[in-house]
Amino acid sequence: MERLILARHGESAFSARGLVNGDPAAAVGLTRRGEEEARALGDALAEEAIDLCLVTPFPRTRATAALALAGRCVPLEEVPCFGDPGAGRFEGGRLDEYRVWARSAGSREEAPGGGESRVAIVHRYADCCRALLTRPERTLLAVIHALPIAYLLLAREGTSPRPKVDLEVRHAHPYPFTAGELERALAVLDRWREAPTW
Amino acid sequence: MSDVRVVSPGLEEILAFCAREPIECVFLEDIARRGLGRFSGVARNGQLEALCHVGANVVPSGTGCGAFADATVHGQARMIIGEERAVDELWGAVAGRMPRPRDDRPGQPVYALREPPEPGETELRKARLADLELLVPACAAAHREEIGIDPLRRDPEGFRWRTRVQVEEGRSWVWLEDGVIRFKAEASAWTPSAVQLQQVWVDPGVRNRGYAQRAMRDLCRLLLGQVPIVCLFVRPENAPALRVYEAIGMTRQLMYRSLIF
Repeated sequence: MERLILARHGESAFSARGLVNGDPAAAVGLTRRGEEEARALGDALAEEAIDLCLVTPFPRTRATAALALAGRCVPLEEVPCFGDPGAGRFEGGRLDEYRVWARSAGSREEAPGGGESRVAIVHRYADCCRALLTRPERTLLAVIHALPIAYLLLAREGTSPRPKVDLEVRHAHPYPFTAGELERALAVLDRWREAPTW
Repeated sequence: MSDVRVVSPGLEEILAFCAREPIECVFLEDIARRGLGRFSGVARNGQLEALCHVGANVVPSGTGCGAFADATVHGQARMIIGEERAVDELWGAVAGRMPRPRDDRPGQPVYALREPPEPGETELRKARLADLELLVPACAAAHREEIGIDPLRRDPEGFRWRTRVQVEEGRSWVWLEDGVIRFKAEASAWTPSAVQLQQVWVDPGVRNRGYAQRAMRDLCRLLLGQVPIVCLFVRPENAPALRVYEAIGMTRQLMYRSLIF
């Protein structure tokens, strides 16, 4: 891989209402606005030669990719490791309540009700990036979720995961990374994973 | 009564449209042939009268381009560029619905050359990956002069990557003297009919000494051995560049207008 274009899915029915969805089995689709955002992503990428598109098992990422790449012959592949965190008992509840828990919980503490810990999430994202770096395709588009993109954008600037991510990850907006930038971001995530700071 | 409608043209229709104006449509044809681009068309009685690619760049062509207004507004265009009347028509339909452009450049002449000029007797050659350390700053300087933005501040890794891709695709040429790039240029579009040059740049230390003209002579000779037409567009206020292009025999074909956001 030489270049990875990260994009968050378009607005979903849950993100529009500030609700948590960490279960890919839930049928949460795009809103009308999300569909428009996905088409606009397609416009933004229309001059980019994309060799492979990655999506997560969440329907909103696949729907975004389908609209963004409509009419193009770009193969699609699922990467579960970039999926949103398992939220346990917060599933379907309010996102701000989940965030309150996440900011106060220890790094290795799993979300109550069978959710994931922060360390496990970062571990998963880091392994995912490592796997992408070995891909033979030249340019990858990954339509994924806000959290891994936020972590990678911060890590690219040398900043470790932190409790409050003051960074807006826009729906269906392209965030390109070169392989070198991804490697540097990965090194930051790896360092944090070995010695979590929150 | 005529039947006018907005359509999604297929590749054959796009190529047939572009073949009518191969210089104006060189970019549209290039991205279509590479399987890229998002095209809409305006068809009258089944015949394509206008074509538009809506992507990072919005590129209209033909008559009736106001029909592409909605697609343009919904996109995330960094630039609207194309034949001046087509852009005028599109911009007239979207101006109130889009941000104000950072720059509006009407009247940019498009030059073309069909006959090889006299040799410039330079050491111009295709750029190699080994040239990249020298080439990236030169390309960045050209970008700054052309667009007014320093790509090495905004997106250094991405810019370096894009420069390398151009070299790998054989779309970049340099002339080095004593380890210094004196001249460089890239092809921004390449079809069987024409190649379009962009970011023609001369080392500021040797400007107004004939380097540009000599290098352009050799570059055009090289390219005209492979394609029938070499073309480019230029800002009308860039008098030294206009003199160079006319001196090597290039002639004005049409005008472009670009709106940069």
